[in-house]
Amino acid sequence: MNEEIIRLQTIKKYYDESTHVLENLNLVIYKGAWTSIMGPSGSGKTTLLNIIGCLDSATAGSVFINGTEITKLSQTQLTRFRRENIGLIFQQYHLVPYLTALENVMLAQYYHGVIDEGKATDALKKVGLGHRLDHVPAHLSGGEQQRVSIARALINEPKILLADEPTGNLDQENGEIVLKLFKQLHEEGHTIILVTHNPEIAKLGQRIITVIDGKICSDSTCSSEINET
Amino acid sequence: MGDWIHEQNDTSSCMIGAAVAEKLNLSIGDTFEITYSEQYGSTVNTSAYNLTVVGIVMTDGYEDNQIFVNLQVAQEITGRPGKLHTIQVSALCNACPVETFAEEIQELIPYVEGRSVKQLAHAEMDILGKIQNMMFLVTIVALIASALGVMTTMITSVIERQKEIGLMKSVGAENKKIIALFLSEATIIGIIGGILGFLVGLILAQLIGISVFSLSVTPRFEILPITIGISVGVALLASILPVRRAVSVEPAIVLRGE
Repeated sequence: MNEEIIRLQTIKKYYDESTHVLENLNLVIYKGAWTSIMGPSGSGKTTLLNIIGCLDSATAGSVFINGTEITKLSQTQLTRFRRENIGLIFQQYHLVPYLTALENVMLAQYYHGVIDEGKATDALKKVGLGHRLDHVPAHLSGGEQQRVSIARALINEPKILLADEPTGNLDQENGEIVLKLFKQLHEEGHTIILVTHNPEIAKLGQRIITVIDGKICSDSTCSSEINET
Repeated sequence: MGDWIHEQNDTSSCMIGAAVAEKLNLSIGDTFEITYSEQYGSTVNTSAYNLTVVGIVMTDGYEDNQIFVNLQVAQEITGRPGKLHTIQVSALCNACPVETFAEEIQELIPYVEGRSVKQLAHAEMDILGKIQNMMFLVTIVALIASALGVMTTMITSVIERQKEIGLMKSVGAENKKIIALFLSEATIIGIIGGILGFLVGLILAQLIGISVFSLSVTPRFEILPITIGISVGVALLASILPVRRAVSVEPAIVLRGE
């Protein structure tokens, strides 16, 4: 559990001289840990997630993921690294509207270079959508769409799962289904970093980091169980 | 003015030169009698023939003083069925050596005078040349317009699909995959545009051919691949800017939900 998988060293992110999003941020995350990131809107938590997810680059500082200093990688190398190591789950699901659930999952396989319909089907079955393979996003509920995006994030077996408010657009029932999936993935050994506004959801993680004004204000460790409802 | 003699077996129509029309005070639709006399020793053979004017020729050349009828009519009037005296060559093309054709005909057929209808041919060639120049300009304008059209369509597509592009990148699509996607779409647009352009061009060419030269244009299908090639080339060139824009989409915008 104490094997380091992510290390951020004095990370700074400036959009311009007056907009300092992250200030000298240091963070170490261990393999298999579920880390929740909290903070008010505009505090820099999504920017932090983007930097860890290789979607954005830091203005200064170093980011190491699985021993690779990603701040030294080119855009193409970053894309490849993200493809191999990171699974992304978005608040708004971001499924391609004209592709079926199965094709949305296979899209990630396509860019990874290996298309395996059977594996994509299994990934959707794992998130309880074995009966919705041929449905386009418009014919799926919000919870089902989010589960498709989780299947898509998992299909290439990433080492790290990054989720930005994954239950933010869901009702309580669907939110709980999605959180159960996260719990299951955590038990399977995935490293999870989850951005949330909801303290109850944050408590599901072993560690809660609070970011305010681009700085880590608190870093606590807690444990909890998903309410079986 | 007027019309050509369209039917080869039309034995009642004629075209007359402008000078003939003026001298005989004839206009289109008028019928007149033509008399042909020929003396054999002390005998004079005379024949008369009724003709209707369907067109008036004005070339400022010697054609203005002539009457044009079908070969069969001329042979009948002169009492020389199956005989020829002069073959006049008029070729509807810019670089055709009409005079050489006339000379070759004269060499190959004894007792026949080969002559090029210079004025008529030159007049037609002038029109053809002007139409070619006009079509060249129209083609250039059409190519620029289609390039702008493709560019606008592609840029709109990139803007509309910004989230999709960001998503593709976030799940691991490299820039070359994004470029390939949009260039493939541009190629498809180019192929469809090329085929449609060829068909529309064919219809326009027929209309111009029939209305200006009273001739139908033979379709040249070997031009189709060239048309498609140019169309695809224009579509690909017009895609450069939209593709650059697509490549510059930052995947982070997807996470931000913008």
